[in-house]
Amino acid sequence: VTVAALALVSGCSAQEQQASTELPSASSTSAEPTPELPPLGPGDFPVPDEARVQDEAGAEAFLRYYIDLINRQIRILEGEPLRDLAPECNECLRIARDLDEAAEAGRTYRGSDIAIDSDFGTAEVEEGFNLAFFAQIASGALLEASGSPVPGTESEVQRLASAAIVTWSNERQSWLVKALNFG
Amino acid sequence: MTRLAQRVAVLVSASSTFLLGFQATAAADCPLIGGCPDVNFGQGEIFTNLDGAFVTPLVAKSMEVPAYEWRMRSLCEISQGIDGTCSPSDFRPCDQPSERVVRYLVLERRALVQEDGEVADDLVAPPGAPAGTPVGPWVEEIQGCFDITQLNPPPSPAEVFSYFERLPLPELEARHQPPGSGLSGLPVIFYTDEGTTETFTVDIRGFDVIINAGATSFTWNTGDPADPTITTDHPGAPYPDHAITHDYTSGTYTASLTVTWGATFTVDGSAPANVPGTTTTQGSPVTFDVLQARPVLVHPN
Repeated sequence: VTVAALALVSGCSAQEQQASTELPSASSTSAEPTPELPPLGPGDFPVPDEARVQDEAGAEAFLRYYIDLINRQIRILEGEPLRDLAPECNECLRIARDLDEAAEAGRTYRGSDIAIDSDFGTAEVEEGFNLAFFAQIASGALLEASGSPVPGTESEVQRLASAAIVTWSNERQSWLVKALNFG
Repeated sequence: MTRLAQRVAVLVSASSTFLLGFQATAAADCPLIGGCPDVNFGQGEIFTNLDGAFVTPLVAKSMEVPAYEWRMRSLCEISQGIDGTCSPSDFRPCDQPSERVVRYLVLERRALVQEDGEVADDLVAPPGAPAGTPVGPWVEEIQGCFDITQLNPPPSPAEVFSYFERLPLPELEARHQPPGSGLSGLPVIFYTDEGTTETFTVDIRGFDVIINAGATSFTWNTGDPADPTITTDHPGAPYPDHAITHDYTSGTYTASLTVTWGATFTVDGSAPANVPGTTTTQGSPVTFDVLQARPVLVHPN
């Protein structure tokens, strides 16, 4: 799926998630976030604390956040936050590059938001967790500055079997996306 | 170490994605070449010699729904997806036996939901995923030199270049003015009036490849040790539109023209692409004298 065909809209509704301001309780276990989490993600759209917990639920929360981040970045056409949280993910790097190139060319995306449209099929793998899911890609297009669609970029709504591998980073105290595929 | 030859059936071949199923066949020698597996692709099936850890995951439970779908991509294709460019390290050489197509490729796979809902590698399908649904991102299985002759891939730019080098390109001759002998102090004009573009249609493994060749630079070998070459990006023209001249002292000189050719190509009517490289032709030499003119007083009668 090209980003042009990714003219993305999230069923996750791109509601901004705020980092928790509450410290863990005294009964916190080792699976809960530490109080000194380094900042991660855009300042006004940080990685939520629940996505920085090194367990299955944390991995799933991180992927939900990352899909929301893609939707957010498509609106503001800035690829760097996607690269920062997925430095080894080829598809993520490609999406980030497409956004930067669209910005340089004065283009914008219409629609194309991504929504996670199923529960995850989650399996622990050597690198972290493999998360399989269905993604719904809203109809959309890449638009020229004039507002006309770039030829070949208009797409109808699609439901695509998708998957990601997320891997834990001790340095960042967070999950990172290692691989991602839509369709 | 157990070595098995895997019989691999190509179930679907579209968009550079090959859906493969695997069946173990007889044990065979496994001539791994420096990390490059010896993989032979046949019409409708692939024979690949792999060993060790690769063997088990390559074997599908059922030929109806293979355990994995597979695709092969070049390093350049992968790099272009990431940053839009290819680096020199993306182009890795492979031994090229005559009449074979061997390319350095990355074999990638992803697991598929089986009829019983199970997925290879203990992955878990999302609820409601039918058999055949992919359940993981594409992951690299192995990379190396693959013999893909039987898949009959379109000619690569490098393959087209190997044909381009052997095309009977015109050997343009250097023309000079004045005709015959020149005069010292009078510049000699060089030009060529032969065609500087040529179109060739060649058959490369059944593909119609049209190569549009064009002269990209002209090196005029003057034969004058004092200034042996003149390089231009045009063929020059005769007097009075001349643009290439050389001043000789008196003597006998042999001049010639070396032309550098570039080209674009199409495959079965595809969009044009550049042939990655140039070739040269050498025109026949021409020899002429340059004379010293002396003023002579003559009686008017």
